[in-house]
Amino acid sequence: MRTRLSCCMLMACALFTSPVEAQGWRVLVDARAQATSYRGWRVDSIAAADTVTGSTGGPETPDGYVANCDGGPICRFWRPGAESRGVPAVTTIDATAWGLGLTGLSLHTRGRVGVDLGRDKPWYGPDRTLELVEGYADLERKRYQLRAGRQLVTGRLGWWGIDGGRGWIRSPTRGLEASVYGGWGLARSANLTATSDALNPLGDFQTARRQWAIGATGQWSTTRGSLQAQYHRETSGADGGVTIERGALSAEGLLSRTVGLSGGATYDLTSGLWGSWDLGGRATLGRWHATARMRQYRPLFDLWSVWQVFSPVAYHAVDGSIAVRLHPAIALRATGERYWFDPTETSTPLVSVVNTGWRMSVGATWSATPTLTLDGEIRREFGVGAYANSAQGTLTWTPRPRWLLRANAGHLERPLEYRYDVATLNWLGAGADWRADDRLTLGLGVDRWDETRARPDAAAFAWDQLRLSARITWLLVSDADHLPLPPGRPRRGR
Amino acid sequence: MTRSLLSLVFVLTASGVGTLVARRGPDRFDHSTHATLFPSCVSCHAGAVDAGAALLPSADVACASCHDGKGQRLVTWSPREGPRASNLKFDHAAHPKGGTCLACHADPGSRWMQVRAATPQGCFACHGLPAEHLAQPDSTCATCHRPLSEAPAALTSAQVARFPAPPSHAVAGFGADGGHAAAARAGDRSCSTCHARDFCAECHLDGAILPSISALGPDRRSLALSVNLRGPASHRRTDFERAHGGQARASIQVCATCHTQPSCSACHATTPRAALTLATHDPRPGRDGAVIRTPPPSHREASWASGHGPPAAARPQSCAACHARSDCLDCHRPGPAGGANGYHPTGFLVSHPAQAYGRQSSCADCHNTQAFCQDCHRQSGVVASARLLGGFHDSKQAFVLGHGQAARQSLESCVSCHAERDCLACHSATRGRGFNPHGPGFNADRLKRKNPGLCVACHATTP
Repeated sequence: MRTRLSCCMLMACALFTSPVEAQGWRVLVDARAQATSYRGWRVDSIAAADTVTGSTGGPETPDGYVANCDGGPICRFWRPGAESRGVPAVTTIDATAWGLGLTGLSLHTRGRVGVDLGRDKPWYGPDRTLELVEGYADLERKRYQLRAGRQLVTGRLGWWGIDGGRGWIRSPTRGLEASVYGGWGLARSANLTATSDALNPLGDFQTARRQWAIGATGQWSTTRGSLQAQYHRETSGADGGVTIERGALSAEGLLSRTVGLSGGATYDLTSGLWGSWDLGGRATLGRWHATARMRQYRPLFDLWSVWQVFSPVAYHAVDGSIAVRLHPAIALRATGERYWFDPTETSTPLVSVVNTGWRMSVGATWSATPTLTLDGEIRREFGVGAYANSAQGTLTWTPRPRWLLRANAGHLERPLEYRYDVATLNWLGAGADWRADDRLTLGLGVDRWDETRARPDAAAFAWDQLRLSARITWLLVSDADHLPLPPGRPRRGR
Repeated sequence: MTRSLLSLVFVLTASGVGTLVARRGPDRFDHSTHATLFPSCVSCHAGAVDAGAALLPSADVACASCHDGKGQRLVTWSPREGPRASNLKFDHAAHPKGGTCLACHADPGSRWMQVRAATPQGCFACHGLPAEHLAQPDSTCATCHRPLSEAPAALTSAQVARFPAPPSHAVAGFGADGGHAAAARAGDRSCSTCHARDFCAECHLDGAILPSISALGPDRRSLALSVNLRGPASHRRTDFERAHGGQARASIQVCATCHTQPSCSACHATTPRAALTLATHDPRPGRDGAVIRTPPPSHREASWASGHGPPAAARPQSCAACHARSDCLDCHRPGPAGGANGYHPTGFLVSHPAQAYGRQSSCADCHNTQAFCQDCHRQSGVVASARLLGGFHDSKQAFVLGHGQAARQSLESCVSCHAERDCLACHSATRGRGFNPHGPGFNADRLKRKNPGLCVACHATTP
């Protein structure tokens, strides 16, 4: 151990004492805080013998909460929980350094420090106080690239985090690129390891050891199109079982200058099922822009859990959008989607659930002046589990180049199909951004939600909220990225 | 009555103004009034025939002989000093002395001394050129005009601003699309009649090295000419964002007309190789061929936020041209203090159940189901407790007994509140009620081969 530490120290000394030319760095500090308060729910129980008959004819608690007894001696009901107040404050630091004496070598890191300044700490736990989103060393040359450290692998399969290494080879003239990677995997869509306590809020099954991840990508690009393939596999560090094994293809092509196609598909090798796929096109004809797409979505669960064996079925949809700029200052848009689920092969004589739905929206943007923009949108959707109707508007104003002011308001109705209440929500918000200079931005915001629930018992409590937010974004740079540019044209006679 | 009074006041006011205007009189010498006094033009304008004499008479000599303040009132007129305020090259002495002055300075049939300034049409008629002034070929301007930069100082910027533009300048393609460049490169000096180097440099950031511009003389008066320059037609094509890279690589000199490197860095996260040959910066404020960073047409789609994944996956380098990695991470690795106006619209917190059920977008692409959904639902009290009883889903009687369809359609929503043990209470071969959870597409052999430990969770041994 001591030998290893000594080696590291020697290497560090060698690096920082050797002559380093044109060293540059860039640090972006983004600090945000948000204050919010809300009241949750709390499950309670009461003996069936103590309930009374409520206005709906069913059992209720003496203080007016509808109770569900299911014929048993004990009934359950929900009453308002304690008010929870949180003030999460998060600082994200994104830093890059280059010019370290080796051509193409750079260091990158993006980390996050978070604390909750409120009394209830509703968001932050000990495992999330310090998060490393990415942190790697990168060596990029014309035909190859090497990267080591915590990094995100992106592609059709999503954003996968690994602690390991990745290497690329590429032929720029032929538009070819291939990469392989491997290391310890991170939890999906999180900056945490699979063993983190923060990933186990309900106290259920959790692995005690991290998983291994390997994968590969390949890409071919031309001026008319692009094709990418990806493979990703993770195995349990505990028993070696495969937890994730998927492949994906993505493609994009130009049929003409104004018409393009894109699409792709994922295949789950562990279950033998197609995951999500889509095929869509977009066209721009003068002032008109239109899209159309067919897609399937099937949730694929990692085999850390048993969810995949419950056979989630695929969701299919066709959707489209159209936008037109009627006038330089006026743009209209509309979207629509029709969707349906595959047969679930379940027998539900007691509960019928719809398996189709639709959603649509229409909106308009009016740039009343170069500095004042109004945007409004109406949305309607009806489908599985719920529906929602909403109307909302936003006003943005830049009275001076460094100022951005916004105000927004909206109205929403949201009944839940499985829940006996209808929520009506009105909200109002305002905010301001001030760009002190090219490197410093300050922002403030306040938003208020007022909710009303149409429920015939005392459980009609709402999630009214007031949120205050503030942020400061500060870019620190060495300006070294401006120095390596070659001299410009001589400007004689000026 | 009131209306009549107002009308009277209006008429009186109008007539008074008219009288004042009429009394101001002409600024120039009124030749017609003096028609009976002068028998010839050269008695006052000797310079028209004698190169050594003055073209205009002296006021104290020519006017004061009559306007002495006794018989006639005094006049304050004084002749112009120096050259005329024009860049015309006309010289009386170079024209035939046998001609009469009225041939150019009066309309046919006019009375004696009913004169006017000579017009270009008169020149063309005499020289046998039938066309109108501005319809003459552009290449012939220099025949009669000297370059603006050589025009006398008496020609003011205000007068230059009133220079008429020839019809050729209104032809499509003459402006930013290069039509004027071809004319300038033709080599004649006609452009210099109205323009100087300062005017060209307003747009041409590389003007100093272009022969056709550097050949022009400098003259600030040329800036008085206004030009409403639009971007080239190529910039207005819908595929310009995609195609401009190839065009830049093929002919970066064309781009250099208006652009320097800051134009590229307005959008590009890294400086493209082709851009390195552009000037690094224009020292004058507000130049550099300012580029307003506007998203391409695809980004203006109503569903772009939720639909950008497929094209981004197929061609990630296209995104990287304008976006830094942190742009993506802001949404794909969100923090909890982002405020109400991030990727999701305001009010999304309350509408998110409907959108999650409807799978408009995949929540799991950016949110970890456990660390994000379950954690928040737990703190809000919306969780199950391993013993599934009716209650929460209270709009459906006996929901527990018929939840299968809803679960297979929206399993991700179930998972946001339920842990595995909630379901295994019934759906387990060993410790539950033995209800089989396997449905369409379930491939036991394949899953067993990939991860036999998964089967053990419910079957105790691999089935």
